[in-house]
Amino acid sequence: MITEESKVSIPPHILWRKEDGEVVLFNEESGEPYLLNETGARIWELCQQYAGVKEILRQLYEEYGGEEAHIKEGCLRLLNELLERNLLEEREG
Amino acid sequence: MILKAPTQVFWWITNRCNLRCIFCLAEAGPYPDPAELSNRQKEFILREIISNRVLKVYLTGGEPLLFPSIYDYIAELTKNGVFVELTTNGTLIDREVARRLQRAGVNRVQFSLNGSTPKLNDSLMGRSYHRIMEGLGNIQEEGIDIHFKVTVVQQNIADVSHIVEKLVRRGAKKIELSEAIPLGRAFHRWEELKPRLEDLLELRKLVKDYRMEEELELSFVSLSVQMYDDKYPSVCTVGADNSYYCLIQPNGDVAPCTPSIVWKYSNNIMEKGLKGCWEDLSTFRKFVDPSKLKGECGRCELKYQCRGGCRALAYRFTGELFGENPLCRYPLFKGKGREDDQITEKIVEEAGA
Repeated sequence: MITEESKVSIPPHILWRKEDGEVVLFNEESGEPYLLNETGARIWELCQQYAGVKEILRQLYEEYGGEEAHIKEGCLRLLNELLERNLLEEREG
Repeated sequence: MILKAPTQVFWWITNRCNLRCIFCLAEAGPYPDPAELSNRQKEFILREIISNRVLKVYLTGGEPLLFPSIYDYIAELTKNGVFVELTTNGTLIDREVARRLQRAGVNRVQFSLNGSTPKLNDSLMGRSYHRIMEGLGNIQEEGIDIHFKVTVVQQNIADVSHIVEKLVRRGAKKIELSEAIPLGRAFHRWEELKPRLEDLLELRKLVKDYRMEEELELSFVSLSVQMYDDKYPSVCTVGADNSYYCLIQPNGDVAPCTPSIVWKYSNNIMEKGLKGCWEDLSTFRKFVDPSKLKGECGRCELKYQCRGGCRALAYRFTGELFGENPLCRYPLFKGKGREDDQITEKIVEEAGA
């Protein structure tokens, strides 16, 4: 399970593209696509930039403002869903 | 369409082939289809795939290695971030071809083997067994990822376990067993080729056992077994909003799936571009209308549930757009067996009908 302390990475079998602010993820192994809305797309982009969930959250707090607990809950929910769907990996260290 | 463009495209780049497999969906042969696009037109398709940011392309045919510019196309696609899987019969892959594929950056090569012995394999594909094995070795030497596909017909179903063993010994990590589909050449010989349901169910057991023992990704795709499990066909999703792939034919027509080519519905990439064709795939929905179904399907109480199953295959068999689906086994479960069906009473009983 991904927590604030986790580090994440994008597995090599995941292909993706941006489409009107959204992101289309495609699991090359299973052949299934997955669509992320604009906020999800921003989180995905941050996963490219930062391995640590802490850094991703810090960036989101800055960009979106608002209640940090709410942002954190939403972000972790998405990251764990992506993990469950084999679209994201949790990495050691 | 929810997506602005497909995530994956099956590009049937040529209909030419050096083999003549008896179950070939494309009815490929030594000469190109007269309607096949020119090289310049194919270059347009290449640009369309790249500019629409398609994520994965299957280069297929016919035999795609007979298309002289294939290496340049692979290089251009991979350079632009497209994942390329080449579907080949493997017989043309000598050391130099393997090296060129590696240099072009192909991500994966898909091979077919349909018999564990030259005699059986070559009876289905034409003389090819030894060249396939040689091609496989050459691709492995270049370190290119390989997937295998076995087309299951009645003639090789008893041999499938031997094929799998042979491929595993040759280093296979992923094998797909796929029941033949009654299209193209397979349609013309379907009575002879169609695997018996009893044998397909046995094969499924074998696949399950095998998967537990080996470190192998072994999958089994069978329309007949799916219909046996569900008791009726799965819903045809042709032209659905959540589509994510399409097929580009040698003449440039874009279709939502392989069976749908039987409608010969013009949706040409040279006229509309990939985006236009993609959006117009929704027009294929007109072929699926349960209220218009005829025959057994028209009278069936499940018609709004299954919507007549694969309408393209039903059309291929009946020649009618809304003809009954002759592959459906539901009437059997209702005690109204079709004469040509080989399903046994025991199987119906086991299925709990």
